[in-house]
Amino acid sequence: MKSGWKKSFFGLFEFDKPYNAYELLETEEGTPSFSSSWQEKSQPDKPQERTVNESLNKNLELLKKEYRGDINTDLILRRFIFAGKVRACAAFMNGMADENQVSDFIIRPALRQEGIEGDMPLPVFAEQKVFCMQETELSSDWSIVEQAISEGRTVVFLDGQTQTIIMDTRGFASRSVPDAENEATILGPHEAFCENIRTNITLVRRIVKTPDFVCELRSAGGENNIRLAIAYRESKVNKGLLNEIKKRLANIDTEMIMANGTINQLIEQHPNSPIPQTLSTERPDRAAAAVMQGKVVLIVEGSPQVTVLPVTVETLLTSAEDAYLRRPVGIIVRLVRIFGIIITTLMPAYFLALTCHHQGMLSSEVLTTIISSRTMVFLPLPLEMIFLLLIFQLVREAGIRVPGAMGQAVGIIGGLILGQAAVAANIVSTIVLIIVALTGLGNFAVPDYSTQLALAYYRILLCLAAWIGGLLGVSCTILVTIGLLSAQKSFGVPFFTPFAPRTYRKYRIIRGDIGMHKRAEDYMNTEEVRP
Amino acid sequence: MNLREGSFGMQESASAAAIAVIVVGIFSINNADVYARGNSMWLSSIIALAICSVLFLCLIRAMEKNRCNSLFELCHAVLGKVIGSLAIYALVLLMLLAAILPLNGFLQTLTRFIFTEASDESIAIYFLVGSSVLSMLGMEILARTSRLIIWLIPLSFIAVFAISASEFEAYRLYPLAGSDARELLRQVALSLFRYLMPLLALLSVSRGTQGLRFSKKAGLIALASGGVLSVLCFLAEGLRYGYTDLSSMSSPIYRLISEARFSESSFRVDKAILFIWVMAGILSAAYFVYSASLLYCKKTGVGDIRPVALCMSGLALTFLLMLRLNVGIVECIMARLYSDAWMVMLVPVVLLCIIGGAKRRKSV
Repeated sequence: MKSGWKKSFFGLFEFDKPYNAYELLETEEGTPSFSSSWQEKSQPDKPQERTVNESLNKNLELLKKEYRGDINTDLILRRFIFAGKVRACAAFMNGMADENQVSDFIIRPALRQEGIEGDMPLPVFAEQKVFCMQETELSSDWSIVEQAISEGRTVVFLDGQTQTIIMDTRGFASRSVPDAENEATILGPHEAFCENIRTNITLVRRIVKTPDFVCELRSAGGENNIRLAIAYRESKVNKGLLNEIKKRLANIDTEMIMANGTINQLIEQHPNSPIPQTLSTERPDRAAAAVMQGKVVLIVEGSPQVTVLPVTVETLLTSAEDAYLRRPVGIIVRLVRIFGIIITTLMPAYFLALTCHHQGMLSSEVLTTIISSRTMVFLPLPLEMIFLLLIFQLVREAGIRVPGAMGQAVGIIGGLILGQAAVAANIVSTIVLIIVALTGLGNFAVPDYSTQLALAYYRILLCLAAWIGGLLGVSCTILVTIGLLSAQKSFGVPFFTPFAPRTYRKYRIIRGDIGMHKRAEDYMNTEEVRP
Repeated sequence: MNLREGSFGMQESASAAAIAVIVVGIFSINNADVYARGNSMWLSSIIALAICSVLFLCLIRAMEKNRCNSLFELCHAVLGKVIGSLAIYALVLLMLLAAILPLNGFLQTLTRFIFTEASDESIAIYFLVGSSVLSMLGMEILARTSRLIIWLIPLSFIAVFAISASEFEAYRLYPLAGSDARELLRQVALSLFRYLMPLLALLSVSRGTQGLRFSKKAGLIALASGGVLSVLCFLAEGLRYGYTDLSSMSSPIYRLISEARFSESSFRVDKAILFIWVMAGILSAAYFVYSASLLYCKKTGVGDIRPVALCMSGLALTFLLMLRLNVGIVECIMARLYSDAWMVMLVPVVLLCIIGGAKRRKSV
C-alpha cells in the first residue's frame, strides 16, 4: 500500500492517474461499478496450504517448534487416551482457554468413553458422541489449527487421523460491559462496547433481533491475526457497498492492527483528510441504528469502538440522544449544536479579521473595549489568539492523559489559574481569553471526537488566513475547504449528503418526526428501494 | 480520460448556473459606458433575459434533434469540423472573458474600498488559488459547492435592499427606457452576452446532468432566478442613484449598503456581504474556467483536465492583471472584446439554433 506522504491530498496533482473512484449512488448506466481502482490487488495472498499429519507425535513436534515450546510455557499439550484405545492430545493456550471447560467437557468425557461405536470416522464420532462443547469444527488445515489455538480454542489431535476437532473454549479475562464514557447521554441506553468481540456482537444482536442480521467473522488483515466482524442486514444492505468494503479489507497488508482506528485509516479513500470518512462509536444503540438503516458496522477484536460506514456530515454532527428527545426540544438542541459549531470554527478568525483589517465594521464601543483591554499586551493580536488556542489544546490533551483524580485539577490549573495569571501578566487580553473559552465550549458541542480534533486545528488555519488576508483570506479558505470536502466521499457517498446532493428527506437541519424513520436513507441505495 | 465531469443533480447544476448568471449579470458591467446616456439597465436586462431563454430553448431543441449530449458535440454535428472548431475556440475565449470581467469588478471594489494599500497582484492571488483549486476538482464538486452556498446570495441581496430601501426615490429611474431606442438595443446586446454565457457553459457540461431535460430545467431555473435578482439589483441602484451618479461610480451595489446609515452601537455588515459576493465570484470564475477547459480538452484530445484548468486559471488572472495595469494593447483588446463579445457569441449560437433545428427535420 502506498505510504500516506506519497499520495497527494485528494489526488489533485496526480495527473497520470484516471479518476474512477467507487460510487454508491446509481448512475444512469445502472448499478455502481464493483471494480473500482482501489489498490493494486483485489484478492489477498492465500497462505500455502498445509495439512495435519496422521502421526500424533509429528503434529506435536511441529506445534512445539512453531510455538517455541522450549521457551514458551503458554502452550499446553495435554495427552490422553481417547476411549481407552486411541492416543490423543488436547492443545490450548494457558490463559486464553478456559481450563474448566477443557477438563469438564473435553478430557473427562474422552476418558470415560468406553470404546468406539459405529462405523463413522473417528473424528466425527468424537465430535458428535463424546465431546460436550456447543461449538465444534473439524479441520485438517494446519493454518486453521494454528489460528484456533492462538485465539483460545482447544484443538484435539487423534493419532492416525488428519482431521482435528476444534472446540470453542475461549475464556480469557476481559472487561465486562462498561458505561459509555465518551458518548454519555441522559436518555437512552448507557452501555458501551468492550474489548471482547463476541460480547460486542451480542450487544448489537440484542437490539437488532432480525433473522437477516449477519456477522461475518474474518481476519482483520494484520500479522497479529486479530478477528474482525462485518455486521449488516443481509436483506437491506447494498451489495455493491458490501463488496467494496470486503475488497478494501482484503487488501489490507500491514504488520499490526490494534484497534478499529487502524482499520479506518487503511480502508478510507482519503486517509490524509482531517475529516474522517468513518464513524467510531462506543455505543451499541448507535451501531444498531446504523445497521437498521442499511449501513455496515465493523467490529474489531480488542477495540471498544466499532466503525460505522458510510457516513456523511450529518452522521458526524448527530448525537445518539437526538432520537430520544421530544421533537421540539430535539430541534432546539440541534440548532444550539450548529450554533456551537459555527462559533468554534469561525469566531476566532472573524474576530481577527475584523480587528486586524476591517476595524470599521466594529462599533465604537467594541473597539474601545478591545483597545483598552490590550493596552499593555505585547503580543500581536493574531499571535495572542493562536497562542491561546494552542494552550487550550494543550490543557485538553493534558487533561486526557493525566490519571483520574488529578485530571480535574489540570482543568482548574489550566483554565482558571493559567488564564487569570496570563491576563494579569499582560501576556494575553481578557477579550481574547473569553473568545477562546467560548470557542472551546463550542468545540465540545461536536459529538464525534475525530471531527472535534479536526475543527480544533482547522480554526488555527482560519486564524492564519484572517491574519494574512482578512475576510478575503477567510472567505477563500472556507470556499476551498467546502470544495475539498465536497470532493470527499465515504464509500461512494458524498460527504455533504443530504445537503449536496439533496435527498428526498423532508428535514435536514432540524430533526424530523420520529414516525418518519420508516425506511433507510435514499442515498444508501438499499435493496428495499431498488427495483 | 480524466475530465472530471462527474454526475450531479438538477438543483446543483441550476445553482452553479444561477451563481454565474448573478455574478456576471451584476458585477461585470462598465458603469461609465452603460449609464452614459440614461438608465436602461433594468429594462434591457428583462428584454435580454427573454431573448436568452428563447435562444437557450432553441439550442436544447437542436441538441435533442441531433442527439447531442453537450455543446461540443452539437458544434461538430451541426457546423462541421472546421467551423465547429472555430466556434469552440471562440467559446473558450468568451468563457475566459466571462470569468475575467466580474473578477475585474471585484478587484476594483476591493482595492478601492477595502484594501486600499494593497496591490492588485496580492489580491488576485486569492482569486487564482480559489478558482484553480475548484476548477481542478471538477464540475461535480463545483456544482455541489454552488448548491451549498447559493442560499447566502439571495439573503445577502435581500439584506442590501432592506437596509438601503429607505433611501429609494422613484424619480431617479427617469428616463425609464434610457435616452433612445438605439441605446436600449445596444444595452440589450451587451446584456445578451452576460446572461447567455452561463447557459452556454451549462450546455458544455451537460453530460454530467444525466439528461438534456435536466439541463433544460436547470438552465431555465438559473436564468429566471438569477435574472430576477439582477433586475432587482439594477432597479435598486436606479432608485438609489440617478444615472449621472451611476456613470461615474464604481460598485454601486456595494455602495448601496456601505453608504447606508448604521447606528453607532450596531455592527456593520457591508464587508461581510461583499465577501459573500467575492466567494460567488470565485465560484463563477471556476465554473467558466472549467467549462472552457472541458471544451479545450475535448477539442485537442488532452486526457486530463486538471493541468488545463490550472493553466486556464493562470491565463485568466494574467489577462485580468494586464487589464488592471493599463497595458495599452491588452486594454484595447479587452475593450473591443467587451463591446463586441455579444456578436462573437451570437454568431455560432444562432447558426447552431437555425442549422441544428433545421438539419434533423430535413433528414426525416
